Amino acid sequence: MTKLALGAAVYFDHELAADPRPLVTLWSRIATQPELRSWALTAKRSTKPVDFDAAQLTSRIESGDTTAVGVETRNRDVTIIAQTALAASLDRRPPAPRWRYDLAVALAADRVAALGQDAVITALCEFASAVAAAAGIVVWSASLDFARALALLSSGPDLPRAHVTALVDAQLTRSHWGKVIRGPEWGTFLSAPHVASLAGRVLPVAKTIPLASGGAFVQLTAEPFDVEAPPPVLAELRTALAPVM
Amino acid sequence: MGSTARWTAAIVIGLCGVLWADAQGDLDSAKRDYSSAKSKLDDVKYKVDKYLEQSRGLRSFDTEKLNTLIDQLCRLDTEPDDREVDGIVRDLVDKAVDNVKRNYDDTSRTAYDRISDVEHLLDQTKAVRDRAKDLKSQDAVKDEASRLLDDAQKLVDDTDKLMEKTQSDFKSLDNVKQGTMNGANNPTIRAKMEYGKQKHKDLQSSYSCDEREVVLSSGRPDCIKFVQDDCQIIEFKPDTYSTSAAESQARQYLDDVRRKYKDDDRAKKCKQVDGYPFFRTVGVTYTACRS
Repeated sequence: MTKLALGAAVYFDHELAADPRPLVTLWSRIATQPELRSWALTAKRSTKPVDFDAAQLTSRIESGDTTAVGVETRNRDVTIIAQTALAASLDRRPPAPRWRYDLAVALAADRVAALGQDAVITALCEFASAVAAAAGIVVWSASLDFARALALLSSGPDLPRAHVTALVDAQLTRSHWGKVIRGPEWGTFLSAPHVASLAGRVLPVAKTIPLASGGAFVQLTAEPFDVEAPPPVLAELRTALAPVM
Repeated sequence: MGSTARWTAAIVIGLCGVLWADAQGDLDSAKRDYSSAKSKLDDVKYKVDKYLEQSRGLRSFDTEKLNTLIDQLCRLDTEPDDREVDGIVRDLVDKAVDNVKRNYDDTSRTAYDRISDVEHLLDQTKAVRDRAKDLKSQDAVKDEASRLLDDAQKLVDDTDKLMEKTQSDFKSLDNVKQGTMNGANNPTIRAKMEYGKQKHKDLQSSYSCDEREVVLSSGRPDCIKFVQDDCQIIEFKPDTYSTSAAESQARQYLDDVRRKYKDDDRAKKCKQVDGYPFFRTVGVTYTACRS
């Protein structure tokens, strides 16, 4: 059982305000704790956290007035944040990224253990399939704050310097994710065009999970490793994925 | 036959010319009325602002007393002294009500005058809008009329907002006269609002923000910092909100901020990504007023 926290991000164009089912399904798989709270951002303000009620939050998303919603525990050992703005309201002028929306998930090690690592990855892949993920990653870290920051690409004020540097470096190709992959990391989401570009290549990975969208999730090693101490095989994967980087 | 056709063509061309001249004349006249209404709006706005300043001044609280209330409600580690809080609140309310009652007749007269000014202006702006709408159906001037219609509609909207603002303030004044203190007129609510504002100011200062609450289409980020290779957008929120919400909100400003500061000399310190400065996004929560 891993002692590492999970951070995951998925980038996509699917408008959750028009069809929130992929997110609702994800909640049903990994937002199962009784003490969850939810909040929402709108274009002008944010709401205070309230007890999580999936039906109410779904209807809020469908109303089209939210730009992001979060479901989390008070101590943030579970965090699920999705962008939910109406597609028509998004400002697509440069330097807006190629993708429209993202999902960020962070889970403490004991939460992963309670849910089961495979179940978490399956739930993320199910979401990625439903929204036709353009890119995404799954990383592990001894620091839950760092795992969450790598997923959300935003953080509190007290990240250590090394984590700040890594967080900024992780975003240098942010605008291009979709055209290129984010990563590679322990887990890397490939879009259908990425998969097509890599046809015939053998990737040095422990597991490949095909996505219904034509994309794939590639898992580098069977066991999680700390994002700050990657094994040498990550460099091999980077070489193999060069056509989509 | 040839001669009849020539005459007919000449008459049609002549008629078109007359119609075009009529439409253009109407459009020019409508444009003049628009300009007049626009400049009147600026004038009325100025007068309304003066009235609002006067009216709010009557309801303002004694700064020292309000600060004591903020200390009692928000800054003490211990439970607030209810009797002291009640005393301060009663005192603040009594003074505000007394002040409003003493100056009510004068102030309400000004309020009625301002409401009447805005009403007249609203009639004028709506008339211009309706004329632009009619002119839009005339081919000769439809493009220009369409632009005028957009401008006139904006004028109507702005005037409507001014009316709402004036009426809402007058209602507040009436409420205070009756001793009803709602929203920011309620000393307890006002103290909490002021505490939040003060906290934001303190944090903006302690984080050495270079820009504070810049107005962007995506909102007003609390703090922007230009630091060598680590420029930041920071959002402050009381801890009654989730830290994740603060972090997410900071992130919502990212592309807008990058666009705004693309050519700003200060942003040359930032890491440059794809030809735009890059900002790290940060969410910070502070201890909210506990009462």
